[in-house]
Amino acid sequence: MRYLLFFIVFAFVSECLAQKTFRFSGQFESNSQYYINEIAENIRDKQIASNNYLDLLLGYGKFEAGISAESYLPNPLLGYPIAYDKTGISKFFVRYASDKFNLTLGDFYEQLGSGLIYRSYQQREIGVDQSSFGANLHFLPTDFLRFKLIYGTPNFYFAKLDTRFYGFDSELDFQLSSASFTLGFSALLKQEKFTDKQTVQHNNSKLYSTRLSGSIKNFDIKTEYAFKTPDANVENNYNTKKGQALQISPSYSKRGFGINLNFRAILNMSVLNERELDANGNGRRDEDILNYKLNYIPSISQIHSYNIYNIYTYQAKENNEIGYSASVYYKIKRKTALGGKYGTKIRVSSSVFYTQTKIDRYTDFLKLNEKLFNEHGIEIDKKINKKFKLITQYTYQEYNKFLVEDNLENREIVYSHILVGDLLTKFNRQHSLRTELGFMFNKNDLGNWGTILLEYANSKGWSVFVSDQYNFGTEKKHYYLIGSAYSYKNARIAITYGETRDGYTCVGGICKFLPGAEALSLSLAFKF
Amino acid sequence: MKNILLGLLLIAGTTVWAQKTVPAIKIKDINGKTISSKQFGNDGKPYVLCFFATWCKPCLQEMNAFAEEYEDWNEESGFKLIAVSVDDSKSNARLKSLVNGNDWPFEVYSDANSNLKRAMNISSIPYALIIDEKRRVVYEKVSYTAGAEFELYKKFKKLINK
Repeated sequence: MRYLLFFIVFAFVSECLAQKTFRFSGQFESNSQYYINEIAENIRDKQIASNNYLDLLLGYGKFEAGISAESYLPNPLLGYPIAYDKTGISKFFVRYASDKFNLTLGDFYEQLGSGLIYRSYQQREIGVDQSSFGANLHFLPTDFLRFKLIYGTPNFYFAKLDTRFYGFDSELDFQLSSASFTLGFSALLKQEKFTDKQTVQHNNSKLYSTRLSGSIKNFDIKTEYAFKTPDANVENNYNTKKGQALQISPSYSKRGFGINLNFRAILNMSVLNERELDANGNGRRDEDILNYKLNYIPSISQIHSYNIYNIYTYQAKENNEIGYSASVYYKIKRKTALGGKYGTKIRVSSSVFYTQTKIDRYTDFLKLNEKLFNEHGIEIDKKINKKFKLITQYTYQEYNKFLVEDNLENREIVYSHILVGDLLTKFNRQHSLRTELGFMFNKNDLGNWGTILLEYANSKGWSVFVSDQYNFGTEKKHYYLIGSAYSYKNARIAITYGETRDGYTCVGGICKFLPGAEALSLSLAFKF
Repeated sequence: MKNILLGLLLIAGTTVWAQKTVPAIKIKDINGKTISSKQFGNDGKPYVLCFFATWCKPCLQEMNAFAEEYEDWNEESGFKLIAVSVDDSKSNARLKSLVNGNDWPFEVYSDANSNLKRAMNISSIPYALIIDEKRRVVYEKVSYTAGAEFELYKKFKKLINK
């Protein structure tokens, strides 16, 4: 580490002698809530909660230095650990980047392969920040060969966890006649002392993965296989079995048509930065489970953007899942009988997931056991004329609440038929109104659901919306939201008032469970 | 380490400041080939850089809105859009078929671990930037509302006609 630092300082002085100019940029983001309902008041000791982030980047020639500050005062938002109600520097790094070398010292984010054995990333909207502190070196000796070396300690808000990891990744591009391929290999060693002296467990866990992707004219394929030695943790019931994962994703596409399949089988692949989820002995923090993950195994099912789908969000079972997600995109050409004047876009999608093995066995790989989730749907996207654009969707869903949510009360599969209509009315180039209607016919759970949203927007960046989600079954309850947002150049402000349900809030398919709250929310973001 | 960083920032204190540019970050094209973002360009003319994801509804609205006007604008003023997807392994397997299936006529790249997005300090998507012939950021616009593509195109044409 010391030599690497010496190298950075030496190279920086050389850059200074070359008299380059400085680059400076940054961003500020603030999300605050004022809670109105009693549940939220019972969880938080103050009615106001606020999460704030400031990132600064300074560049000089091939150098870059960055620093981030975070503040969770007077309380962090619901769903974040109350222990971190403070302000401080959370991250800093220095980086040297040339065409062949890229060296980062300090806090970094990285991914080996597709992330099956290691990925650290940031998704602040749902409180995910998995940066690690250490060293990260990229070396690109030729334009067809790439290497990565990483060493680090995972961060947890302002603290550092006791785990250490050492990782390696290599990637080689090659051609066979008209086909181009990329072959990759990654390895990672995770070291974490096992503190329970009653049982003999492994301090070290080794993870390997190999991948091959190819592109031949209109046909593409990505494959990856990962293997891990035992890593006993609270999520896998402290088992001492090996784990493996296989992912195969072929696709074919040409102008106006695309089809893809994403198959994945995972067995016993959950690896945590701290096996007991107790943040250096400060108590177990299940609400922050996403910040403890060393590798990245998200759900690969379709990601939906309409509110009605938030009732059942499928979460991947990192220790026991097999399944696929597939979609077909087709654009019917304009000026044809079915395409009309502007063309019509059709998307058909299908996702099916099963468990592979009985709970606590972790032995059967590439086998089908019990159904977790099925979903099949069709979407038609049609521009009717210059004024109207209509998107309609139908989806059939089967959701095993008992297995997906570990919900012991509900042992029957929940069946749903979902209909969505989304009409965009453009009064002219400046003013538009979006009307979204969703309905879910539901069996074996809370009953039917309906959603409505009306959103006016102008082209200068101002919008205002009102929405409602209503349960026609056992709850018979409205969840109203009203809000407005304005964006100008590099700044955005949004204000929302209303009540949300207990449930998963998802960004890009990564979902975090948040308790329901009646709140006034204000978010501010700007970049400079 | 913190002291060294502060020291470096202090040394930096006295020199000339440059305008923001597109940093050189390794990303992949839609066929999986690794390239550097410093290769982005429009034959020495300005271009529009746009960050999006296949799961982000306003992003798809914006991309489809650009796709509808793209040929006309390209013919009229040499307009070029470079779209950068921040989809990770959860969804980037479907990126190419979505791009081709929707018949998007512009270049699309994949920034799977958000390295370019982070290097440009972009926190939320969609995010559009106009980049001039010297790779400098001359206009930025966060989020998308219907019709915002025409506002952006006005700014682009103004820059071209300067």
